[in-house]
Amino acid sequence: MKQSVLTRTAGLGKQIALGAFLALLVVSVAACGDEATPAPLATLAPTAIPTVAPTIAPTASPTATPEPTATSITTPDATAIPTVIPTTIPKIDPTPSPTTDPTVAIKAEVAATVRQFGQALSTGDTELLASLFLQSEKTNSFSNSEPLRINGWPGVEGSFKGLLSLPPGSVSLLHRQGRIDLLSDEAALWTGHFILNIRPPEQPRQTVEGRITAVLQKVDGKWLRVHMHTSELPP
Amino acid sequence: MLLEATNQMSKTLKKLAILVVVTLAVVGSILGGLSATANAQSSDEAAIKAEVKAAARQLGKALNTSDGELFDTLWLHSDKVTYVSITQPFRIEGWPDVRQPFAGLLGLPAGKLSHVLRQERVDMLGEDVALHTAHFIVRIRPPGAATIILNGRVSSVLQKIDGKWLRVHTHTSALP
Repeated sequence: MKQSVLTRTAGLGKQIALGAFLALLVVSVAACGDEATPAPLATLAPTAIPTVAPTIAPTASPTATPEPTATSITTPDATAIPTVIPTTIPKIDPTPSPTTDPTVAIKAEVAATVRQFGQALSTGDTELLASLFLQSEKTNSFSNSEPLRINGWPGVEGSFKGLLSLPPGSVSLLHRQGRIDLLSDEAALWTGHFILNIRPPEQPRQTVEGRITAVLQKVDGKWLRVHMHTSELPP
Repeated sequence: MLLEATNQMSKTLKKLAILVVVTLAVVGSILGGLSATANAQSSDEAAIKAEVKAAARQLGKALNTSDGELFDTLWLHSDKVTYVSITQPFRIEGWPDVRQPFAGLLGLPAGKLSHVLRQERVDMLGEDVALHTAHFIVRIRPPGAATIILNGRVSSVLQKIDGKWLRVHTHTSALP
């Protein structure tokens, strides 16, 4: 019984060895076949390719035009090195090497979040606006239209109700001279100037110019405003 | 037979009672531990906020006593520092320039300026970044000139660097 198992195992081993040998043989043959395949000569020897139709006079019969076929490409003689026509190498503009500074990407994230604030105001999108703030008692703001600090998200949200209730397109917020300073992996400071244009229906247009400080915190992977201070330009 | 059943029930009840007591003890100790941790964290945060508030108040002290050296120790001396002033339209960037608008105030004789903060609030933005906001009243009595009173709001961002809370940004504005 034991001997039978050993015999079978030895047989199996032989079969595996034979299989492996055959597989190697097949791979080798395939590799040799690849080497034997002539390389595309057109890329090596452009002069060896016969001139093709466009240079022939239009009166020539189309049938007279030698068709570029695979057989018309001559195999280069080892001694006859094809003349390589000098071609103008296209100028490649130097591209900046990919930056390794991780703060660049983080600042871009913060900048994108900051821009969304203006988008929310101009489209009257209360949901978008709400998504840009930390909805917490921690959130607070100093507004250019209210003297006292507004504490907590409900109060801060309330301070934008007037602007958000206007028809979409009535408000435009432009930022100028924006600057981002990263304070840590999870805190950022955005400062800039703003021009707020308000066009209430059937009322004169209002323009407010001022400065903004926005403090943002990264919470659950998202940059959220926790503080804003807006003030008009001093007289 | 009945007595045996009663004894069995009594034993089971005893076991249940022991189980309940042990469970309560374990749950109680876990809750107690959590509560103590929460209290400790709360106490830690309160202590850190007190540090930030003390650092923020030093600015008033420096101005009130015309102490330029103290004033300088309160800011991060870096290009990163920015200041939006109550008197100047544009953001001021970098330490040497941020210092400049305060030169006039710091040059007054001691006692000619009074800086008072009201409704202070500190919010932590992580372990090493804090936001201090408040209302302020500044009274300036320049020698031989009328008293100037400024009522405004101030937001300051402070960063803990080498164990010290330093200002990296301040925005002051007049009451609208």
